[in-house]
Amino acid sequence: MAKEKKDTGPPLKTWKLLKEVNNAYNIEINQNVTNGKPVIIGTAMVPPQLVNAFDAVFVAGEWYGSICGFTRDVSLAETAESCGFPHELCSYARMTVGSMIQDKGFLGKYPKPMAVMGTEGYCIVQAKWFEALARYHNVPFTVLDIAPVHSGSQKNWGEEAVRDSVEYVVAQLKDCIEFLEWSLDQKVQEEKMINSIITMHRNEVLWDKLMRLWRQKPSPISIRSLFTFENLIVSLPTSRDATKVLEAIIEELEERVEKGIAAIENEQVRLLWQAQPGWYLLNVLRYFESLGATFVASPYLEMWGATYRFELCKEDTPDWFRERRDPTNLDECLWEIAKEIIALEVWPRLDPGIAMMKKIAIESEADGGVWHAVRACKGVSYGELAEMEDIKRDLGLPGFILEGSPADPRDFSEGPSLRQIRVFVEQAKRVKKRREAKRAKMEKQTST
Amino acid sequence: MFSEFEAIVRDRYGHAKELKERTGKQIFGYLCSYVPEEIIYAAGAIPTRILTTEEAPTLSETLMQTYYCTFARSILHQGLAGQLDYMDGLVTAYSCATMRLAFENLQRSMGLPYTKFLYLPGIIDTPEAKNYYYKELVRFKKDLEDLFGRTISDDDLREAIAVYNENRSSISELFEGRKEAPPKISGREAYLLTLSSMLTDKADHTRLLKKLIREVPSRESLDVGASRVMLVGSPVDNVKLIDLIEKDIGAWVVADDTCTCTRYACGTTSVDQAGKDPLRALVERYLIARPPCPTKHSPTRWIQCKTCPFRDVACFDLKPDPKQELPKTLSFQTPERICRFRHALQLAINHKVEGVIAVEQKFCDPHGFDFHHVTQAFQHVGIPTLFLEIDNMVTVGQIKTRVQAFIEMLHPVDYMIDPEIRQGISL
Repeated sequence: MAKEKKDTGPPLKTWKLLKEVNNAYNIEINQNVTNGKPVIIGTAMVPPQLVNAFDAVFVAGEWYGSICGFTRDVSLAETAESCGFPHELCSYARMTVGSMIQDKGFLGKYPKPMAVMGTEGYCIVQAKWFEALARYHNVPFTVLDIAPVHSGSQKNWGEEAVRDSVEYVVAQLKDCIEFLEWSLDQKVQEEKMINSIITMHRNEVLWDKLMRLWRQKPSPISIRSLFTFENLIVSLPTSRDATKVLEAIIEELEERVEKGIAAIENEQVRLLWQAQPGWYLLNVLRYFESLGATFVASPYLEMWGATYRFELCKEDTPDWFRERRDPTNLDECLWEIAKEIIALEVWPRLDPGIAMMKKIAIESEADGGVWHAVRACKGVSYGELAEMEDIKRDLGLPGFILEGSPADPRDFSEGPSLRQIRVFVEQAKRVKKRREAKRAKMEKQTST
Repeated sequence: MFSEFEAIVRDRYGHAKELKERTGKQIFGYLCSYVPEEIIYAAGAIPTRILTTEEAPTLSETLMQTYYCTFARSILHQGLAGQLDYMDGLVTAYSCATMRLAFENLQRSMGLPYTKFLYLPGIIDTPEAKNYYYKELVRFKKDLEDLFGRTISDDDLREAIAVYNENRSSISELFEGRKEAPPKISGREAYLLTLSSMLTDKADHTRLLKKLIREVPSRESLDVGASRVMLVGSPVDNVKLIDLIEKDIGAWVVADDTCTCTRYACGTTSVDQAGKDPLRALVERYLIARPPCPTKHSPTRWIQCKTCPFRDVACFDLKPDPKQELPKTLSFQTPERICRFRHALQLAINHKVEGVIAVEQKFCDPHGFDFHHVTQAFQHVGIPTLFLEIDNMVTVGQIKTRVQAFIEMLHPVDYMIDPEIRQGISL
């Protein structure tokens, strides 16, 4: 890693609280390997509100894979590959499968699930990966099929098609409840589900607020910190502990914004970030910072809030689809969950994705963007090249493709990447200067 | 005997243009074997599948990263290169993110008057999935009616279904000859039949098939004693791979589970059901009657695993843990169709297969994840497997030695299945 001087702002006070909540969750999973509540493993697209209506712990495979990536334990991926899972497959999946086969988790043992849930519609891996886990564990497996709302350049069939999709997902959610009741030998707890959804709504609003604060000038929080906060909204979105942490960080950031405290003191260019990071090498982001580049917005992080998702499908959905209500009974719960996950599924579509990217770029006053070409992650990498080209053409912002993988360090070439990053940041600075000069000239002409 | 079929595959663009000129009909391209072609046909257009070419997909590189499979990138390349300009419309059914991205990029770049992304449920045998897909098909039919300015009647659909059923049953009749020793038709010929079927007017194709059905019995036998191989996995649309196995190495590809050959021809649409509601009948054909691809799931597949005849010999011995036993009043629906592993195993046994080549288009996630299970399933019944990564260019030099070494070690297999279990599967 490059030896550039760290050029960051003051430490976050909320960090301690965040660590406590994240650690409590990590330890809970670890304890559940031997006793305690049963574990359900599934994709991050499985609605946690559903699983949390039972006395069970939900482990999002993507989060588990990211922690495996963070440990840089390549032997996990190698184990999966030696069993016939090709290297080209998603590195989260290979790490998790390897962890399962070795029975080696990041805190000791791998959390053996009592049932496994996959999803379809967003990315095929989110079904196939979990099917492989279920086969290995010999446990029941189900798939939730998330039908889309046909946004973007599809012909808009209006309310009819949207209602069909929601009803289809609601019917499956009922099947999922039966599946969980049978697998866990428990009854669904309506009250728990209602509370989970209300808390999740609250947390999503807070997450949106956090995202808005991130965009401030100067930006009060670094992207590296946000990737750690992300666990709150991915693994613990229905938790009140997560609410407390989010409220605390928002309060702290509002204070920072008021006082003009920057997370990265040397904010020369403001950049967008797309896709998940390489969890094994978060220091690459620090390298950007040392060169004076600050990340200020990311569709990947924004999608966990409600604003991004519902904004994305605004033109293709009726008002009732985007209205979020706190439910009062099980039927209303399922309706709310269905809308939420369908809205999330809209993300990998070219036209709406590009439109949102442009909007975020303008709103956050970005000077360029970095697209992490996440090797073998077809969902998150979806349409990155078209996005980058359109942003370049329509907004005049430079873009950079950083090739890597979320969890497998073998897919990232550090030396060449750092050189490319340096060149790109210099380019972004030059382009910014040119744009500012042009703007000043135009303003001068207008005033005269 | 097969030259007419080969000509269609070799000159697919020329053939499509000639077809368009001759019939005056519009040509609709489609990307996936799950697209219900019958509806397009009933609307008065000719559906033709877009397959790969051997050209390097260079133009696609500005829109799709190289870690997307070349099957999709080759399709996009053809669109960007103007090679698909004969098309009047483009349709796909959801299979995976890669194909969806290729579709969306074609949609944005080609400026076609009509494009359609059909959401084919990822779960295919539940009442709600069928109901959802039925509604998708109703909307698709309505789209085409608006486009062509005419009503597509139930009789139009029934007529199209009859044309397609006849084509599929004719291909299946010829494919029966693959079971014989030596096979009546080679793997190359089998692939040419289905690939050409995807690329031309079905009624014309059936006429050629009928002629072939009359001619095949009197043809000279193929070589006796060659090894019998099966292909399983990603789409194979370049017969160079088959040529390598059959011509260069000297084995017969007697069976396959790929969407460009057997899977395409399997499963007829119920005429009885079509009599009542042709769209419902099509839903049944595409979701249930045809063998599934690895992108399709049953929500409760493990229930059926409990009674699967291969349960004790294959990899998918999913026990419904934690209780070991299924309760008598289980509220879940049992899957309506057999799983793809069982389907593939039955095909292998029916065709006396001695070795399986699991073909994966490089970067194909659905097949990549299945390979581990496919290998176990076949090996547990005593059939050796070879994993072969390919791309649209099929670089023969690189894979020849591996395929040759694999085929040289093959011999007739005494399938390791309990005789009683063997009774339970339709051999």
